[in-house]
Amino acid sequence: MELTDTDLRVLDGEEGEARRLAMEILVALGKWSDAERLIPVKTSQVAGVSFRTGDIGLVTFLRDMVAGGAKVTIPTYLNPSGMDNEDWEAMGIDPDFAQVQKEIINMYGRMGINVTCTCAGYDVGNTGNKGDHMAWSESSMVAFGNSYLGVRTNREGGPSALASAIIGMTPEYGLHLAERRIPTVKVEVDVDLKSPSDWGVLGRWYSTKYVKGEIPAFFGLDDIARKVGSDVKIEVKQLCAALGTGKTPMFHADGLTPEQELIPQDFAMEDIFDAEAMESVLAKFRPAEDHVDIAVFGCPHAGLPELQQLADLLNGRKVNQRSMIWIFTGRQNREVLERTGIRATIEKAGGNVYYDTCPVVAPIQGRFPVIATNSAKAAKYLVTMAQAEVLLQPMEDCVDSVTEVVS
Amino acid sequence: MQGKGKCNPEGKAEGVAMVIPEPIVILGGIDPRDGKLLDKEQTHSGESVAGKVLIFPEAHGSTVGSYVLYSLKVNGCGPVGIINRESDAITVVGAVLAKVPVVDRIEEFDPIDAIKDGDIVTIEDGKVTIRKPSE
Repeated sequence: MELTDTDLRVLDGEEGEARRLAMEILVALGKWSDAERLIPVKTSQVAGVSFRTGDIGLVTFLRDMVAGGAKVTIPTYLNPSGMDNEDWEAMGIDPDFAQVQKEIINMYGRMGINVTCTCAGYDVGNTGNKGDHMAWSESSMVAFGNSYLGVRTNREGGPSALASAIIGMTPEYGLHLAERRIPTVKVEVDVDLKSPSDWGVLGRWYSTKYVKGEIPAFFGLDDIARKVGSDVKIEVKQLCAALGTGKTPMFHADGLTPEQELIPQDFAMEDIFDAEAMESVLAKFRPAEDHVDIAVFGCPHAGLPELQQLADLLNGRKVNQRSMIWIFTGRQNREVLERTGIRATIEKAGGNVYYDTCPVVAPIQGRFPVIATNSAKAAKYLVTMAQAEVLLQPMEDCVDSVTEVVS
Repeated sequence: MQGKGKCNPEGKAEGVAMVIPEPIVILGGIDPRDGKLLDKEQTHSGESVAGKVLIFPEAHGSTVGSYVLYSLKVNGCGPVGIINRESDAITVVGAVLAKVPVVDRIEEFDPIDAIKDGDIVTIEDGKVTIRKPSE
């Protein structure tokens, strides 16, 4: 890989230990990927915030970076935290955990990072135009950016996204190159997707069947999108989150996504997603037990339309005594939720809204034997990370499972 | 038996082989406190990767897996070296932090087939040497 004299000076530690380690990460990635050079990136999105998932490795790395004088040089945003950074006691978070979690957020802040913790960074200004190069790390956001916005980003590890944020560059390989974005699997969607969670099921089916990072082109999604009658952002969020549970970095959809010019006439592989394929995924997320202990929403973080929909569903209902509802979103939505009364409606029904965190990274292991969710991604991870049985179904059905109508 | 592959990050390591023929999900798949494999469907489920040369085709799943590799190192229960069929960014970056060499794209053989559990594996930058425990 070509390195300039400046790059080499950074690599020798002449600009401090943090920039040296950042450059070492980028150079290792560049050499591994046979990249020819480093290219500038516009924004970065850093995963590795939750102490639950990042653990001691994350804390040690960040302490070293702060001690080494780390400062970001491009707009940089954070992934979800392991707790609601303010309302953590209500979540039942251990004070020792909370202390380390706060230290992590503060260290990112000292580096100059926007510490609004969200996996839907496109809702807090981390967005771009077709062709923009980015260094994003959260798997659902990477798929969303590449597929729906048409920006170009590899799926960075947390440390490499931080390295790019500090240096302002990334090695030019993978999805930064047009030829690596061409789909190789044609998938005919031959079943109606009736809710956003069904789009997640499609993503989970694909990412467990095609495990090498093959990029799909979905045919028939455009008709389904016309029936939905919106920009299908909510649906695409669920699809992208589920694709990210495997190695699939992005998708194209005939007539729908921004890079139609990359969809070829002929494909190496062809497949069909039908009712049977859908059932093969759903059957894995159907607990024997009828009672649901908690319904979780907001994986990826709920946007305002989803929060409004949840409030509408919960209006006039009450959460069962032995159940709970947790809803996750970014803190930037807090004022709107309070001003519009959405939060009051949710809380009146017995639901809780939490900011900054999400069902996958919060420490909820072992607390809830049966969890219902509308997110195929959350369903996949909660089985191992929360040691729970998981019921995957549309948002409306999840609400039904844990509430009753108030007479 | 000897083979040569690409080594990123570079380094030297020697240890007993633990071969996992399926792709692994590092976040949620390896317990950072003791290195034990958590996925019940995974080969070697319940065993620890501590001190091993870990051989797997590639990593899948969350990018936070890089920090898990570093957590394992900090907790003293990480692998001493990694050999992949074709590596991935999660593994390469995690290995830079953990200062553990990663070898992939070995020309002479497929590491998943050629290396057996219990073999003594030596990594010297791109060079991989495999010995049977009795040799």
